[in-house]
Amino acid sequence: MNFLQQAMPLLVVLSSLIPGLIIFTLREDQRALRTFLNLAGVSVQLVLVALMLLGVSRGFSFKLQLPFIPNADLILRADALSLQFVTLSSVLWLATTLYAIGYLKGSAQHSRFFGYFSLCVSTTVGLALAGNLITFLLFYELLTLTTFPLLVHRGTREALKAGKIYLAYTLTGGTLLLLGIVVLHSLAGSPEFMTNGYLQAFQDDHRLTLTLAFALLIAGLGVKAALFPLHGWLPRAMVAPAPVSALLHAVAVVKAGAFGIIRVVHDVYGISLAHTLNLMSPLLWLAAFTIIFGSVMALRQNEIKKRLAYSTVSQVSYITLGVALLGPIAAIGGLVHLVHQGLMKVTLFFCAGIFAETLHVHRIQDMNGIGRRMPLTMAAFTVGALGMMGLPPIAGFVTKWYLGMGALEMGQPWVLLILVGSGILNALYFLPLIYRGWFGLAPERWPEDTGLGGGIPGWRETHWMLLAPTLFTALASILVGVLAGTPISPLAWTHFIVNPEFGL
Amino acid sequence: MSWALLSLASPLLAALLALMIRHGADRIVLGATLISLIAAVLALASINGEQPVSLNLGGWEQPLAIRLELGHLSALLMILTGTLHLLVGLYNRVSDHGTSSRSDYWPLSALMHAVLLALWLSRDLFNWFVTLELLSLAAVAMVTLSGPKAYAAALHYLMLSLMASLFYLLGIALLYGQEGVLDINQLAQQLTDTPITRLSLLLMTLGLMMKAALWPLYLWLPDAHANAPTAVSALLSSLVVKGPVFILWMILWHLAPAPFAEQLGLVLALFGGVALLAGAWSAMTTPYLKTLVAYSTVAQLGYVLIALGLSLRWQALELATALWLFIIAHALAKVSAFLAAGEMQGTYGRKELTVVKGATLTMPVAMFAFAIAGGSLIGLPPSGGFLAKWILLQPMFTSPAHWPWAFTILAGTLASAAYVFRVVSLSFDQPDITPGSLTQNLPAQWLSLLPALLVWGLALLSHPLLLWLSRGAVV
Amino acid sequence: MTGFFWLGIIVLPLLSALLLLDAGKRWRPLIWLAPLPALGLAWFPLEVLRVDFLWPGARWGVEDDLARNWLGFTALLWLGAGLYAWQNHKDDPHAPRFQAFWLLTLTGNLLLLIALDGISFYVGFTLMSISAYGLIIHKGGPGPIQAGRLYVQLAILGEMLIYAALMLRIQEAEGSLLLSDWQQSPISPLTASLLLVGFGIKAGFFPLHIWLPLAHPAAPPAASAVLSGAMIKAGILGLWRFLPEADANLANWSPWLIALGLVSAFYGVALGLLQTRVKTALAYSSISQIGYLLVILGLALGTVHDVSPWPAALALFGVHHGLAKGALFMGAGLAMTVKLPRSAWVLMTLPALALAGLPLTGGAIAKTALKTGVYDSDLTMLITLLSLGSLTTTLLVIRIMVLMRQANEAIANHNRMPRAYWCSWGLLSLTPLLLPWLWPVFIDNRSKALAADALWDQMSPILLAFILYGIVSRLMAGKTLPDPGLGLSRWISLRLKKGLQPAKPATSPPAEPARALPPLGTRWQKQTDSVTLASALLAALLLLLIGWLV
Repeated sequence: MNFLQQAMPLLVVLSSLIPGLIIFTLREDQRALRTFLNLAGVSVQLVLVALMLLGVSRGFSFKLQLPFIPNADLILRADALSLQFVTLSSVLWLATTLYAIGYLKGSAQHSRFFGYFSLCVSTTVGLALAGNLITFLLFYELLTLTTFPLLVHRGTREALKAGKIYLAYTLTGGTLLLLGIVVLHSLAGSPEFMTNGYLQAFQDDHRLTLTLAFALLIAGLGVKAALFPLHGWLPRAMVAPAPVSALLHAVAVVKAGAFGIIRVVHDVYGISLAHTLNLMSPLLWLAAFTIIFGSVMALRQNEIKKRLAYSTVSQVSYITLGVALLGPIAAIGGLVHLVHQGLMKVTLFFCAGIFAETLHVHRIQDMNGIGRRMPLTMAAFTVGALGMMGLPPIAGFVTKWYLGMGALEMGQPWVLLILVGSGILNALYFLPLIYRGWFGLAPERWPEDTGLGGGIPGWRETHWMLLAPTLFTALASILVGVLAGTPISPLAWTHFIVNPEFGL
Repeated sequence: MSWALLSLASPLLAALLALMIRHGADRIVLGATLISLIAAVLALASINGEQPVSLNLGGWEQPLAIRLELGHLSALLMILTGTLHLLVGLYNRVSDHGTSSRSDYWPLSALMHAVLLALWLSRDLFNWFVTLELLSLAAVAMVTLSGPKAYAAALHYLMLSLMASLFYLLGIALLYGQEGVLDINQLAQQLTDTPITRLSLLLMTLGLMMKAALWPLYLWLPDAHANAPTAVSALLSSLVVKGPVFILWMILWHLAPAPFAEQLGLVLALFGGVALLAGAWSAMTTPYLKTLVAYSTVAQLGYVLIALGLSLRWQALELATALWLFIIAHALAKVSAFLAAGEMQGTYGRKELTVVKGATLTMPVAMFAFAIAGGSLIGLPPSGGFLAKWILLQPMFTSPAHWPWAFTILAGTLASAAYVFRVVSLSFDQPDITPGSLTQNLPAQWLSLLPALLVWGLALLSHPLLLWLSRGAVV
Repeated sequence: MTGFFWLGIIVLPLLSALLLLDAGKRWRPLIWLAPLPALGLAWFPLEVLRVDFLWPGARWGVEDDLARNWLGFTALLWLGAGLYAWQNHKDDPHAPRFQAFWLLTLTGNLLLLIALDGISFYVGFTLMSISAYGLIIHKGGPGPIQAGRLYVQLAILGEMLIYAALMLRIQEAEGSLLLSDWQQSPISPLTASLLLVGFGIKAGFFPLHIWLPLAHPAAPPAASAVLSGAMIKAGILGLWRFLPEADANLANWSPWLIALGLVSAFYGVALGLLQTRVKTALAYSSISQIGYLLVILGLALGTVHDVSPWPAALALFGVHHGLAKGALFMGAGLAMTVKLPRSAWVLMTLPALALAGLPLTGGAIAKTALKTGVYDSDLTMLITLLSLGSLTTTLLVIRIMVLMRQANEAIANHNRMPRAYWCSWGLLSLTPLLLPWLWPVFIDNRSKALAADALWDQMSPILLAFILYGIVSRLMAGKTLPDPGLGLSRWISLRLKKGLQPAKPATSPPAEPARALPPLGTRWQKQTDSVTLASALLAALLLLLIGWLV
């Protein structure tokens, strides 16, 4: 058992890494083997994650520690928070892999794509399981490297440009993060993350240093979390193939940033220290501003994916907002949004990808009447969009509920205004899409009907490998909202994460 | 110590043999390199405790004898030299773009190997002069292997190298005139802070800087490295420029009087900062692939300069660990980068940077090698480059006055990212050629990948490595 | 465990959506029966269901008479309207879409009625509001689309305001989600105003009514019936549930609410009289009627001691108006499609006059209950206004009937009216007469309304109104008055649309030709220069450093 407890976190990382590395060596035509490897990897990972979830909820710990740098070991461990992220990653990896197989049918360079795709997941999982800052940094940087090839996969000039901008942002972010981590390391070493942080001992003598380090860390993490003004790469990054955008926006990159912010606030600084140093109010304002800013920018976009991208800017800041409020209820709201936003946004990007692949519909004005041609996809899109607005009973509402309550609990009623404003703005930029999709007049002929899957509205409106994951995630976004009160919901797990942080 | 001698002797013998028996020289040299490498590993293992082992050649006593000393650092550098020579030798044999099995490459590289080992083991100023001269000559000779197009570059290299040697020699002469000894330990004990001491140290420093191509005295490097055959470029960039750095570190740390060291250290560190950015800028703008890699060496040596300068300035020994880590990591990564770049240049048949367009599809292994070598050059975790940078950054946060240095290093990081990804992002472009139209040499590509994997694997070794380096740095 | 039936009435409509997948359409008509179980539960309310698996504290059931009555009439109305819609949408190619939204809206409406906790109420309310959009714009074309746009804009705004109020209310109730707890917790003015505006948009009283005259006529008749009959009441119910009872602070708001209600009541009539289209006039009548509900609410809030008469009054008014208005909207739909026989006109008059408070109908009982309540409070001056209200309401219903006849005269369709219409619309039209004898709450309250003096009280304004209408219509024959109301609504809708449209895509400037950076290194790479330059550098450095260091 002991050995297994040590090996588990590593196995989870390896379960996607090894298939990924093997896939690189495959020839283009070895499609069956590639698909098998992909699915085998994800299945193994799901089983392992399920085991760990069970274990952690029973109070077991899973931890692997390897010597790395003096005072800074490589630590992979599974705690409640990391498992939340790991579970999200592996579940969405399953959906996205299936989707990607369907999406990329007929295009070239599969081995490269799926190789990096698997690597990307294993770095995400590693990032989630990182047990201290140095390990986190390691996977954070690796994530940049593994996502870049996916981003520029199409190899067009636009994609390359977006890739360069992406790198410029994220590598700078990584460097700032490194700097922040070095500052903390020279102060306190790099011990394991712990509830309530490990820096209290320095709060009297090193206020300035701690504040500086915090600013550096947040700046570094904020790039990936797309906090204003570090969000510039995200809208451009939507040139990537749809499964990549989906993964980028829902799990891998932006969530890595948000997850890092959670880690830093909760497990490095700790709630009380963050309170003492008054670190949170700037972050809170920044997050609030980003929420509104992202929505306003989304309103100005004419391309579906661009609109979705700006919506991500806005939505991911909900997580930051929840953390920055420093109250237990708000923290639950923020953390649970990690999952909720992931499910909803992945659905939306899947749908956008389906529209683009099946009918070559890219712009909003081309969506007229698409609901009649592809009712199921459009239904999934509607669920995702309404969820983004925070309408019950879809997952987004649970988030807004907890965030709103949390804001009031912490005596920050103005945050409600932000949430309301964001909800309205979300409605303003999503409703036209829904309206056009369902009630718009379908054009004589679509920009280009590829006739995927048979082209018959209903189950055969597009390739089943595209449709099935989309419906799955859409259904999941409803279920996690409807069944929020059950012990198996993300919300319940979030309670389990947050309570120790606040000594509840 | 006897292992070290074996390690030193075997390439020397191989060089002589290869000169005589041209047919099969490759096998002789590779075999000898392997033996040397194994002996070097055993030599490292044979060092018990923390004290280095000394040997006086010929049985004479000091100060007459030539003293060799085997410490952890020397042993590690010997292993590094052996490994890289073996890899590059193998590559040269396997690749379609290497030199022939009968060429002069083999004896010369064996000679270079032996000279480098001698350099790592010597602890005496004149010995170092001899090794430096031999090293430069071997290097110049090897640059010419790529034919007439490289003669001009080789000639400039030779001239500047000789000039540098003169400076160095002048420095030794001044010092010897004042103190009468050349062994570094003895000098360290009796040297006083006089203008002569300072002048001689300065002369030696400048000479060594020229030889090591440290900014601003790097002007010979891009041409020489870019025009040499691929295998030679790899050796020159990864090992040859490190020899003078080793000597520079030894004399400055042991001989320089503290006030002088602090002043000089500042100058060196500033040069390092400029080197980081200037080298990266040139790499970012050059239109040729191998030149880009060569300029990257200039930039990367900036880290070395900063580490060297600041360790002198702050008298911080722990920075020496960073220095050597940089050297090891850079050596591995640069071999990989040069081999990959050379392989691509050879396969595509052009030397412009644009040849890598679409390389992830047409030559995935080589491109991958280049990319992950680049990752270490940037210093992404957990590569060796990251380890080094991490250790270098540590003391910079002890006081706010040191913060600007940290930002310089970070700027350098971003600058190196810029030129590495200049290549990488181009490689994701749509290729102009179909993958099938190339005659690829996969073993050579995999060989180019190997050192890059090693440098990323350093993370696993980091613990013993840091321990050895921190011990080795003292002597 | 019988409580699980509550879950059933919510899940059933959703499950019956699966029938839409039935390609043979054989079983699809069953969809219209989805509200049936709800009607049953209104009759036999079972124990409260704790639905903690949704969120901790979720409770479904009916605990008071108000909820029970409203659940009953809502289910009845949806059932009737469903039957009507079945017939009406038989040949509609988009019927499945209509049915899908129908079921979603129904689910929401039922859920908010049986919600005992704030979140459930909000969930139901939202589901209903948003899904109703699909019903409103079902017919397509510029009118419904414009109406739908304004509707959904305001609905979302309302949602968000209610969301904010919800959060504040949970906070004020110290974390409890139960509506019963909320009725005991004091409320802040901010929360109260948010609620008032948020729910007010749905209820559609003045001045938040602007969407209503556009939206209700735009929808298909069955949808208008449930919109006007059932859904706008949800706004009033929301206010009733979320606001605390017998709250001293809130008592100060009471006069303003009553005033607002009365303005709404008369404004609705005034603008309704100017209309030339039946359904628009009916929509204004709804605005007017919802004003009375607001008056009741205001009176209830102003009563600090004994609030008992008001829930009953709300129940009476809600049931009566819901069924009558539903019948009228369906009737209006009929009048515009089929030539109505004389018997149908008799039936049509019933709900119309019931709205005006015709004696022996449910309307009379509801109005009497309201008046009785007013007598017991200190605001007796209201009585006069209420009587005046009866008069004006009568004027409006006369106008509506006249418009209906005009519309029907233009109809050339002499087919027999299908039986389904008789069953749905006909039965609903009869309800005003049946209510006093069949519906428990009406039976309990009918004694006063059926007294002889009360009958005259009820009758006199109606007679007066007939006389007045006769005179005015003579005077105004051939003249039409401008209608200020709809124009305003349309203007606002257009403004909102224009202001929110995304910027037109800027034509992207032609891509700059890739400009190769001139390699900075070239000069330094010049072979001839490098040795000289390097030597010069070396010398310069030597001199410099000697000067400084030695």
